[in-house]
Amino acid sequence: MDQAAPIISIQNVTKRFGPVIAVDDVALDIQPNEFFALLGPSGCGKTTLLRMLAGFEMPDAGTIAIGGQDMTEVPPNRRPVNMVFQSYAVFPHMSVFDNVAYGLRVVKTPTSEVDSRVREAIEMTQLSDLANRKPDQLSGGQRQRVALARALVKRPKVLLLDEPLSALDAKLREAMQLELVNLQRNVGITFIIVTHDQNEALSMANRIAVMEGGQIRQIARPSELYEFPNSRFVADFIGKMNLFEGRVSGRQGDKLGVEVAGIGQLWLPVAAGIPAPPEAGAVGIAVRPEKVRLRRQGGEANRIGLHGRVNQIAYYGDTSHVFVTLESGRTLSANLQNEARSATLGIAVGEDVWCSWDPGDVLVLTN
Amino acid sequence: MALPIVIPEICMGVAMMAFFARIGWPSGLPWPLSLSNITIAHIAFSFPFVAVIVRGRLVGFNRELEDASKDLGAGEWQTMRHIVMPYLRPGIVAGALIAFTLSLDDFIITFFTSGPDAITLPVKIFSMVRFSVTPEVNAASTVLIIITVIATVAATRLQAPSRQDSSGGG
Repeated sequence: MDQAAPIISIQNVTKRFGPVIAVDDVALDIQPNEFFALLGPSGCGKTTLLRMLAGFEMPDAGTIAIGGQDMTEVPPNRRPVNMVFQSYAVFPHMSVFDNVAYGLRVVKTPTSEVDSRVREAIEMTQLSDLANRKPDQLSGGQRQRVALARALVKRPKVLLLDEPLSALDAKLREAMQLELVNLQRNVGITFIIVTHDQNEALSMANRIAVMEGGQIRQIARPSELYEFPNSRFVADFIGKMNLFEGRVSGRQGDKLGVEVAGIGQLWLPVAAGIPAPPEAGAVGIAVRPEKVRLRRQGGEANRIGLHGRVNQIAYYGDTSHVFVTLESGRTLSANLQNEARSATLGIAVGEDVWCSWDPGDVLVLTN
Repeated sequence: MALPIVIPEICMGVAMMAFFARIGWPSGLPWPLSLSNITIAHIAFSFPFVAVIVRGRLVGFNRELEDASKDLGAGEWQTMRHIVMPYLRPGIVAGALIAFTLSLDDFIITFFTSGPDAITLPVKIFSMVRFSVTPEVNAASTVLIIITVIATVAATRLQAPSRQDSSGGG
């Protein structure tokens, strides 16, 4: 990607609601044509940030620039930005066609242009057969397309989506995930979504900003965020992990020595890309369940191994989550792919098993 | 705002009469203007009923519809005209019908605020009854009741939540 100016530049933005700091000195640049996600638990400030981008809230401090122009004080009806609301907010007293045409008619677009652009938007969102229906005759998914068409017909520079998939059922959700990604590619504009669902963010976005307590904890590509989280919070929020507490015992070349209760002394390769590993003190050592291998014998070379007994197996069809009680008493979880077709799993509850993983797969977490 | 609902009509009637006398409201005006003090008094006592009905309708309004309208480029006035008013219409019409019913039937307040040159149906019936109950009085009363019933039923129908009341949400 060439170094064009960012389409959205948020500089030191803060927003308070009474004593609560909803957005705390946030700085963020979003590039043109990105599919960007703001991810975090409820109350982390992501929706407030989105509303400030749309113009429904004004920051108490800082600036917001869109397309290179300062738009901090500009009201929502004058920004080159459009939003798809969580409840879709489709106008109940207008047909699909009139809903989509609304944004063009209020700015006095000539009728012929309105007609052609609205038909284009309706076709792009596959609503052609439903153009004359009223919203109460549409399903939830169809209403969402109306909200999308209504926003995209205005040709905004940026499309904002507030929890776009939360109201859809599981099957529709997956289909819509792919559709939104394709739509973004076809339309060629920046999409920014707000979500609390990490699967949505990981599968759709080019880059994700993880937020907590009004601050951005990490901004990275999905795979970077998953495999190289910069903190306990991000490692825990995205995906699952087995976390052990340890203390730094020293450094040998490119390996960090960590003393972990219940495992012993580990030498971990210092992974490129994470912030500088600590010199001393307490650290969290984590490994993701899919990196854990289960075998009947232990002692594999170059792997960290632990012995235990299978306590529980959760079967999901394509994967099985196995919970192993270790000698130290705590539980380790491992995810196995069910690669071979069989009505019985190769492993059973109560069996002795060796869990192992590559030291390079370990996450070293400080804060 | 709900005060006129709570205050007894006779207090309101006397108060209005005193008010108009105090500021020296002109009498002997040509026809529509001779009803002006009655009109003002009627607006004063029916306003709270209309406000309560319209406010009740407004409670069910999804404010995200306003946000959506502004996001699409509409100003405050356009949003009010194209989005909020169509939603409020049943409430406004219901309120208007209630105000009409209250106004049509009102006797006490009208009696105190009307001058010799302007008269309403209930006040006329009252003065007719003073002499004797002629069939004209019965007929006039019946017409009054029928109009009131029709108006009230229509108002109630409009207030009932309809299927098209969905706020457009998912």
